[in-house]
Amino acid sequence: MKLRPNAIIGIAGLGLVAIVAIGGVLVSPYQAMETNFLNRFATPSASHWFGTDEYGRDVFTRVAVGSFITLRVSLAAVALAIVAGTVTGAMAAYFGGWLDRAAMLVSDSIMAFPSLLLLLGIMAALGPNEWGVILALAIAYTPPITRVVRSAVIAALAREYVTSSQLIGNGDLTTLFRHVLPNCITPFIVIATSVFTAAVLSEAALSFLGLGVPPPAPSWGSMLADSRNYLGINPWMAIFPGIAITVTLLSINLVGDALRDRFDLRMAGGD
Amino acid sequence: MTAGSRLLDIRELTIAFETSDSPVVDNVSVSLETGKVLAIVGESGSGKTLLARSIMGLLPPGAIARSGEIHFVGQDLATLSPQGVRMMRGDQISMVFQEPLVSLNPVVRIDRQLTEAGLERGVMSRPAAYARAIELLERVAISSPEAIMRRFPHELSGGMCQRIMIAAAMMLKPRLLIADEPTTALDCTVQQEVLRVMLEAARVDNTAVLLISHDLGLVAGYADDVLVMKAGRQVEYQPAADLLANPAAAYTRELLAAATVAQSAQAKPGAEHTVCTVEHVSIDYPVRRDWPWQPRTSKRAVADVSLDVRRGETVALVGESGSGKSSVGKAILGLTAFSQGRIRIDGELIAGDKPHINTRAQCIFQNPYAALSPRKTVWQAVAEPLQVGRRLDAETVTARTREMLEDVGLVAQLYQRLPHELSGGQRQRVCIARALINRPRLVVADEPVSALDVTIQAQVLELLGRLQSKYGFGCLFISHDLGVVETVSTRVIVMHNGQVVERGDTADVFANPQHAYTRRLLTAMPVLQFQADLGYRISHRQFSEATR
Repeated sequence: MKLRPNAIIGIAGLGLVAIVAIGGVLVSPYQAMETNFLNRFATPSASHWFGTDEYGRDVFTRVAVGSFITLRVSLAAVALAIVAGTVTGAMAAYFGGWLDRAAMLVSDSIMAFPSLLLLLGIMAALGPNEWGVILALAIAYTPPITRVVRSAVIAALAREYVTSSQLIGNGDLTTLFRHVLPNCITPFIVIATSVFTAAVLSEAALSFLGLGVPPPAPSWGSMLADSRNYLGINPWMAIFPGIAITVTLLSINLVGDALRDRFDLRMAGGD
Repeated sequence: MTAGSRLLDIRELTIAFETSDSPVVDNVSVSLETGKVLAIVGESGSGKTLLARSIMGLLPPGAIARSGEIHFVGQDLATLSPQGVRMMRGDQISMVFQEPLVSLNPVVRIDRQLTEAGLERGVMSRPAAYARAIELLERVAISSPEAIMRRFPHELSGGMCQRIMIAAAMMLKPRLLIADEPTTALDCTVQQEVLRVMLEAARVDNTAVLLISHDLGLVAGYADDVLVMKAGRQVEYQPAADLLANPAAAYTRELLAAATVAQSAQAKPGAEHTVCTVEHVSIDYPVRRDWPWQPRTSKRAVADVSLDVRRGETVALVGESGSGKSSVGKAILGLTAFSQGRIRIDGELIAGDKPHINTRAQCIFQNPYAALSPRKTVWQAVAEPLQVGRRLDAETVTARTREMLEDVGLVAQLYQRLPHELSGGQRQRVCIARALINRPRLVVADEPVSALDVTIQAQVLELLGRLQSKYGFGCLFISHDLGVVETVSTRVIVMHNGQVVERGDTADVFANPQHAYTRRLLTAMPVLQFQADLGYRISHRQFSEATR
């Protein structure tokens, strides 16, 4: 299996983020919350690679530690959303009837709210803490996965291999999980990656608004928020967290594209 | 003969894909005169469609004409600009495709689809285009054309849509009409009719027709010349009458033999054990309600059908699409509920109120492309039924799977392949192995060979017959193809509009049909017969209307 250039760029991007995250925590002599008022707004240098912020904290260390928080929160949220969305979507499509109607009613109700508004509402109710963010993101991003999985399963159900599986005596769940879902992987990967990037972005937006993981713990969003007032003094404070978000999102999308091609039987066979 | 007198002249054409050295069309020369009909016959992969597409300049990406020339009205098509080729399409050459429902735009009314070509080119005024469209609809034997003009494609049957496609193709009085398997997707009763109206419509405008088909028996009766292709090569090219009387190539004889009616299967003596009985079964499908307070209504798809299948015999269930024959099959398999009557599989009663599956009845589906899970290997697909609901040790599973795969004639190199890496015939063999591995008492074969090439059909039917004598299952063979039915079945049941209109031994029903609908079915089917001194002859059955 040969990798396409896009896949290589994507994997390299994610690798870079991982190296900064792990390397930053291991190598950096500073602590993420260690202040130094004698060295505020430092520009990038050998001792502070990404410069320092308004409290003299090392931006490199904060970006690194922030990446752990951002990725941990979004991964956990997306994992929850994927499990919940896949199960409800697949069951709704397979069993139909009132289960389908109930699942769609709930999904449509959630999707009727603009996602940021919904997140703000849930966060206001739960209070700003890491589990609150994860739960809020998971609730907001389950419906799109439910809908996509449901329509993919409905399309697959029309195929005769599903009937064939029922005829040899397989139960509903066996048919669903062994024969139907594996053939819905392509749209699933597309929606899963797009939800993952949306979750990363939303986590950053929540932190930016001060509703994410509570300060002073570093997060890309809150770092951007802090930098707003000092853009004239030290623009580097905004540039590095911004680059971190951009590189992460771009890489996830590229890797998602590559995965989709990999799982498409015909395209994978083609080259 | 000079090139000028010919409408289409293809000389030593070779087409190949960029990535491969072996050509898909190999050194083919063929010509067609104004107003004549040329049939190109071959199975899938023979290059017949690519040959036709190269005339239209519609080769798929990657395919290129390596050598040879295509002259149309004395002009070399290769020298035309892309603009010139585009003007040629529709104007001079037009095309009818296999799937009428896919070829028509679903959101556009028939009148616009028909008049579009004329208006777009500015060669017709709106009233003139409308009048021409009405004229053509009448020519393709559509009654009340004005009403049809206001309809959308989904409101019409497949046969109607194909007639409309033919009318659309004839709008600008093209000099050449290319028809790629124009009747393959249609019911057998309308196939002949559509083919006939197409050729008549073409004759009025003196349009030449290039007819592409896999069914030599169907087209040979209509064509002036026939070109038989196999694996890109020209196997035989001569006037249709000569080809039938005296086929030169072995492959042509093979194709003709596959289409010839064989001796009817004989009832096996001592086959008295009944594996399936259907008594007075009716099936109703609920009609969708617009509002919850409306009363529930249902539509009767099958009314009071009874039949039985004995061990080791094949009973055919015949009818056109919508006749309810597949619904009966589904009810027997326990895939659909039925409202009245009783069904027993191997003595065990099947409840009608909700779908209830009995694994002693298995199914072979029409489309082997859809019947196999795309991500399961051949081995996994065949072994899976053994592993459902019981614990067999690994050696038993391996041994029985291998035996079954060998029984259906699949070689070991194929066991780890995925379905998309197999040919249609190989896939259907996998489906048969999967259906038979648990030794079912009854096999419901729902159009099991309709999606396959003629020569492959013969092989698959032969395989089914052989496995039936080996395992002794009863077979309910659902089909619209009377030629196949006559070959495989001992008894036949004819369904029309959800009711059984005729039943009896196959030989009796085919020799002396009682019901008008059965007679219509049988007369629609051309019979290809072989006589030692005259070669092959195409005829139609004749029945006196006196009976009943």
